[in-house]
Amino acid sequence: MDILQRFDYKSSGYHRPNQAWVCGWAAEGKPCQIGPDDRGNCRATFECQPSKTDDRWQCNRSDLVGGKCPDGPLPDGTCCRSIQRCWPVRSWRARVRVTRNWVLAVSVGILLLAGASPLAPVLLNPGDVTFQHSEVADCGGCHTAFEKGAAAWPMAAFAHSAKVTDSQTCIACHDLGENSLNPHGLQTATLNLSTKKAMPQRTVSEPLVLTAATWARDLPLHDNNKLACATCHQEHNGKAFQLTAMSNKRCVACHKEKFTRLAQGHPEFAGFPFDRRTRINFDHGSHLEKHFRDANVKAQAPKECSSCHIAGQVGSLMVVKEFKSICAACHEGQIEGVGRATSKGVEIFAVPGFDVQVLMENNISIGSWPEDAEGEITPFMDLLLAGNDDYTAARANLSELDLLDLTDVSSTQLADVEQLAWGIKELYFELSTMGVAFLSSRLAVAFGHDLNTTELAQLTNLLPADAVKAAMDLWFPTLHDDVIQFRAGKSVPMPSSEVTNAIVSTVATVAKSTDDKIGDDKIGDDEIGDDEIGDDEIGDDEIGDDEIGDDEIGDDEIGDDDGAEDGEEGEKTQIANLASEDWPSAGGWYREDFSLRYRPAGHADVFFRSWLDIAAQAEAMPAKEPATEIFEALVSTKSPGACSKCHSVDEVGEGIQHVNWQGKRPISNQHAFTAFSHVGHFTLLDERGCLTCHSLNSEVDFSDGFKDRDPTTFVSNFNPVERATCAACHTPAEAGDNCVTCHNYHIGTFPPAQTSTPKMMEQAKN
Amino acid sequence: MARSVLIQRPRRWDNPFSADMTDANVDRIHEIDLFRNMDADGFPASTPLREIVRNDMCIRRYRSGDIVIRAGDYGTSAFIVMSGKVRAVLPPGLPNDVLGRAELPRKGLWAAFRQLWKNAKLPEVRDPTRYTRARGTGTRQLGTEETRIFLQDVPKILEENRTVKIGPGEMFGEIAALAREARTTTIFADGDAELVEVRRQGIRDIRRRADEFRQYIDKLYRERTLKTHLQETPIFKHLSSDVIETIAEKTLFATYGDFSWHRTYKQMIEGSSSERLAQEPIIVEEGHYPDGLLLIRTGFGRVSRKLNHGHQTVRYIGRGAVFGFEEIAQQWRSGGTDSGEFHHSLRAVGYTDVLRVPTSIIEEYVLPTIPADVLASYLGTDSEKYHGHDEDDGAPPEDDTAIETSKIEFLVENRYINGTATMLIDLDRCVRCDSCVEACAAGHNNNPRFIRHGRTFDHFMVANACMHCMDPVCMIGCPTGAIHRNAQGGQVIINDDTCIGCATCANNCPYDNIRMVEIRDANGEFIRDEATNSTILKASKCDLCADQPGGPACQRACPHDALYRVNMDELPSIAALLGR
Amino acid sequence: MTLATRRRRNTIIAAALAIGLFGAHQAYDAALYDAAFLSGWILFISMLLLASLNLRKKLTMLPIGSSATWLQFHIYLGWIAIVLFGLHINWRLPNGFIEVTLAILFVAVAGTGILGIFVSRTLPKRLTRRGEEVILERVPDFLSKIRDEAEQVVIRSAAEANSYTIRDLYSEHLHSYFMKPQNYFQHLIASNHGLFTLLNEIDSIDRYLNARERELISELRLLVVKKDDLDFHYALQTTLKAWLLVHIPATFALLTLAALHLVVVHAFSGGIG
Repeated sequence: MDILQRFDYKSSGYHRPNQAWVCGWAAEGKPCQIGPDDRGNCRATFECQPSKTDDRWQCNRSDLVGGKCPDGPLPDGTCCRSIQRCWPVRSWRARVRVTRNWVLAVSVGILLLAGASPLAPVLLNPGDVTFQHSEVADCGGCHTAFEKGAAAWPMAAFAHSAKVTDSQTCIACHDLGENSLNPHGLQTATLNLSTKKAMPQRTVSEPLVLTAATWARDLPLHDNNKLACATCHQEHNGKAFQLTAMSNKRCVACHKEKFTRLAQGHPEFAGFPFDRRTRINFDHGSHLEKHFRDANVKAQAPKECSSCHIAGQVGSLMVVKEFKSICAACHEGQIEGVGRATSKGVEIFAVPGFDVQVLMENNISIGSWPEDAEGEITPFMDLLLAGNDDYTAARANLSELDLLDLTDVSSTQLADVEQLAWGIKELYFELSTMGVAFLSSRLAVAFGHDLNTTELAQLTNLLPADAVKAAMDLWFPTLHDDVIQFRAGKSVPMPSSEVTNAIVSTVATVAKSTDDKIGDDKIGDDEIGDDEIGDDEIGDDEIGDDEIGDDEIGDDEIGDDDGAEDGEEGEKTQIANLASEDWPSAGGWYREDFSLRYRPAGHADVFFRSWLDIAAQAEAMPAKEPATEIFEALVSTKSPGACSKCHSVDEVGEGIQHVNWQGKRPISNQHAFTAFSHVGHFTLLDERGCLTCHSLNSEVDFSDGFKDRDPTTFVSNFNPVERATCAACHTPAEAGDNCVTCHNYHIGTFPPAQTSTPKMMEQAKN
Repeated sequence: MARSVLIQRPRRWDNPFSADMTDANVDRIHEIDLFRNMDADGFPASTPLREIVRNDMCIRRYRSGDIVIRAGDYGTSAFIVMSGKVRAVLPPGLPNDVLGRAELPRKGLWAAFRQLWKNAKLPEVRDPTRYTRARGTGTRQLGTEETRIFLQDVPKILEENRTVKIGPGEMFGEIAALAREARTTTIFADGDAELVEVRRQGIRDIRRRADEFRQYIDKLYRERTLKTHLQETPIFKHLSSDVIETIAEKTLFATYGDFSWHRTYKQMIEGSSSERLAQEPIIVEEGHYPDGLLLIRTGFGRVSRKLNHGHQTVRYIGRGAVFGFEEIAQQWRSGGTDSGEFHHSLRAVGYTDVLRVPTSIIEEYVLPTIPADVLASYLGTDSEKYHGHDEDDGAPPEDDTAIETSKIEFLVENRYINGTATMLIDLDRCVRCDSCVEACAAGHNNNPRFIRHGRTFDHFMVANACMHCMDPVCMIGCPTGAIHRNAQGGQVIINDDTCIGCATCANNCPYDNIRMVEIRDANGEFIRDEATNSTILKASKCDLCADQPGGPACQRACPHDALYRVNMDELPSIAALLGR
Repeated sequence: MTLATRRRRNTIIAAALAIGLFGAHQAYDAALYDAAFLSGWILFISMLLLASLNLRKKLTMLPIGSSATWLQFHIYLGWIAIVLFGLHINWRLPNGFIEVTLAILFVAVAGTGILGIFVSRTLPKRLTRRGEEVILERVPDFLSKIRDEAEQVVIRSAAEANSYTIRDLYSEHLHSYFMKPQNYFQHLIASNHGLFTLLNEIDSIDRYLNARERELISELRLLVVKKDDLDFHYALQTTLKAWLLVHIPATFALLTLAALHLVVVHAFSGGIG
């Protein structure tokens, strides 16, 4: 074979790739045998160094470069073959090494710049922060290590963990309340509790990756169960990055029940969304299936769910529209007491009836006392007299006694009666002389705390002085003198009957004067009467809805429509009735013979509402018993206004009640475990509409839930929402079933990120 | 640029042993009893005794203390004392440094590691002071060719070592020469002495012609080495020593081929394969009657068989191999019905030393007693030890431990079969990264000790790295014994300190694996001879990293499994490598 | 074990490892840790191990396993590292300066690595099958030999045939060709267009030549072909070396910046643990 290479040692010396420098002539294929030094300098001289033997210069060129040359040394003994100098070049190996060193130098340069130079933040920044955070000044804003300086970074990196410390910089703006770094921002105890409560059912085998995770490491909890913010919120992922995004497997990392799909593993929605009875006692069942179909009301009956329900702020909750727009049409009248058989107003002040004859016979000195009075002491009076111990004692002693029949009662009891009488008379005396100021002081005693004007205004609802005055003139014409006498310690004997009669006649004239005025009103009244029947029927239903007991009474009312007049009351009372009760048909104060009454002024009457609200707290008051009586009286379904027919009453604490004036309302800044947006779902509904999720459950007796005051015992008109219903669309493929779609991690009520006003002002200063 | 060299077919005595064999000298040698008593008529006209003397002998003069032969040297000639006397040093013999050998202890890990920065930056850097260190020996230059190493303090040597005197007329070194083995003793001149050096060809011819000389040699030979060799052969292992004795008695020796094949081989390699084959003397011919079992003592044999008009090499065999056992066994088992002729021809590659144990002996002593398993291993195919693909003609062998003929041919014809650590590079995997070379340099003070070039066959290259031959011709004629086999490990290594740069070894090596280098000082300036001002050469070659902890660095440094140091004696492993 | 079986075995092991790491990464993330730290550390260690091959190449004298074994480790760990890198950057480009630089460097290293293994496995076979196996650094030597011969031919043509056809051809087309290695990329993509056109040039003048000149031109032709073989070896062998010019330096830069990155991310994420 005809080959280029020769292998013999003379033609082919060692090839030395390990040498850093190569003779420049190698490129021409003619490297010299001397070769460059280790710095890359050419050392070319001559091909040999002739030697002088017996006066002749001898060439002694090595055999390796061809042996003795033909021409031989020059006369002066220098070699005839000088080697041209060259520029040595680097060998392949050296080239790689040199490039490496350069690159290394550059990267070390970068390293130094990044470590200690104003460029550091620019170089180190691992990526844009979200636009929300774009205003954070520099690295130090979040990374406490940054301030320490590059020298300290290795220490900071490997020595200790400052994850929680770093998280403080987040909390500075994002205040999540007490335990912001605790899981879910809850007390550990609370968490443990709920962990117990929802002990896993292991409906699906947990994903392998999660099992592996538990092998891998314990949860990254720092000094007593704190999670660093960065555990879930990773910054520097670009301006538009979703900081709150969270994968399901990470969500359940801490949870006992580990599942990642809504369809598989997620617990059923136990009764969701109903965790209590509705605040407003509205029976969707009867309304939708009965009343709204009733020919008489069809017209006013709402047509869509949205007629009554409207998406509240942030569209999450569907709230009930206000009474005026949705209930009033049918139920306004009931509240005002239109067509009401029993008294349309609630009795606030009254003159209790005493057996005047017996008192006279025994010379009990209580001054004048109307014979015809036969009322009861109202809880309001008891409340105002609370703290008057003599009165309270007497009241207690006489509780069993019928004051209208005092024949054969002991003298002590008579004394008690005297006490009682004077208590009442003094009450009225003070009231008539001092008015609201007096009430305020008494109520303060009764409630155990002072009242501000608004409260007072609401509780007294502008009780007119004239009304009181007129009442006193009629009931106790000599009240003033009597009380003066009594207080002076003089005995105030009861006046003789003629005196009384004189007084009575004046009353009659007063009555008479009003009489004809109200005469023509009567026709109007009848008309109203017609209404009553309609009303009653409705009433019927309601009652039917409520208790059968009421039913009978209702019947009586209709039955005795005429009979009532020639009943116990007698002529003049009948006239007085008509005159007084229907006079304030828009509600307010009025007098009915021996009582001062208040008639609700339509829906949301301040008087009723304020008394209910305050009396609900009876338990905590000095005047517990009367307050409780007041509350029970007002809250009873038969009470004028019948508030509790719709507004459910919850017992929120031991003896502490709460009247739900409103349906559920969203609470601003509240972050609950579960968040659902109705608005978001409207467009998805098919013709079944709301019933897609809220199917009506007509079997149940809705009213059952309202028999007691425990909101948690209830039956709903609607079947709970099925998990399947959500899972139908909320699959990874479609609507997505990410935990945080429906659940909040940070639980509680806290304001959106914002520094406190003082802080702001500080910032503004510097 | 076709460079096909045309040469005269080399003939006996083309190159006489010595130029100055005047008739006078020839006569003087004839005077020695040994030759005087020889019957000159026993020699054919073509090679008369006198011509043998003229061409294969020369007279050498030694001064007192001159070392004649060195224990461990690789000798090719015998000596006869003419005048004066020489002394043989009995065991334990002279220390290494006196003999010019290197002490080559393996480096410790740290020492090895230090090479990283301790190594010189420049090529072939030496510490000149090493060469001037006293070694108890001196060097004398005789003319241009010869160099003598002499012991400086003979009396001291004499009292420190037990020696025997060898007087005029006595002969020594013939066995080593014949058997091509290392010298067993060191012999030096005790006072001035004249010795006749007889080169191997001479001894061989004389032995062939002169009966008593033959008997004398054979006796020595049988005593010294034959028995051990027989005992080492598997098929004789089971035999008792006196049976071996008898076999040894009956064993015949024969030598084939040109002893100094390495000189002519380079031209020969250029010729055609049939030419080469023609030059390989036939030991047995395919189809002949097996008159005896052949044992290869030294050298190699090419086993071939006729294929069409040529011969197909099926395998090669080397030292310790047997040939023809299968045939003999078959014949014996068939009870003579099977004529059992040789299935293959056996040729001497270069030169081959064979022992011939007559068939009768085998049948009488060996076959009846040989263990079944040993027998089985030789029957069926006697290529159990040496694979090579046998019967199926040229078709690639199924057996993955077989090698294609073409490859065998190449390895044989280039004599690479000689190597025990031949560097094979798989060019299909080699990325020419020179990691091997750099690794080599790292282990040798920044000097590579091989070149990543060489002859190629198929997708393999036999790189120019010392193969550490079984038959290390490089070691022939090193004047200082600088090139020698490492005491531990047996690698052929050169002691740089004692190398005088005569290039004998480099010229001897038929594979161009020894390189002469110009040595430099620490600054990279050439170290020059004070007398002639010429650069000083040293022979250099691969030492298989004998002093490195990890063994051959080249092989370990090859990232692509391309480079292997293979022992040509272990065909299965080669086959595995070539066939992977 | 043949190379094929070894490749199969290692591939399987590597794949298994990669999958394992992927799982671990997921698990770590599910355990509410920033999995980037896990993949980051493993990646960093892997890169150190990968780089240690370079060390091994220097420590040839120590008995620390064969380079081949190390390279196998290097190659497959390299593949794994690529997977790790993907996991680490979450399969999207980072946007910080250091991060982007790191990413670019990694891609450079991995890219050249893949290129490297590709050329290492393909080019040698091509080299073996064409031209004479020569040492890259000696190409210029042989080139000059061929050039000299070529010039001799030309001179002879001028002298013996005293015609300038061949000389002109040479000075016009061949002189530059013989000066230095040619058609680097053609050889890389195994195109012989360059040679083909050149030979066409030579053959095209055949008809103007006398017998002697024909002999000479055929010699020249042979030299052209021989030189092309040399070019071929030059091109491929150079390529086999050149990729390391990127691979190794980039590695060192990568490691330096990776170290910085490591410290900074830990320091700024509130430290380890």
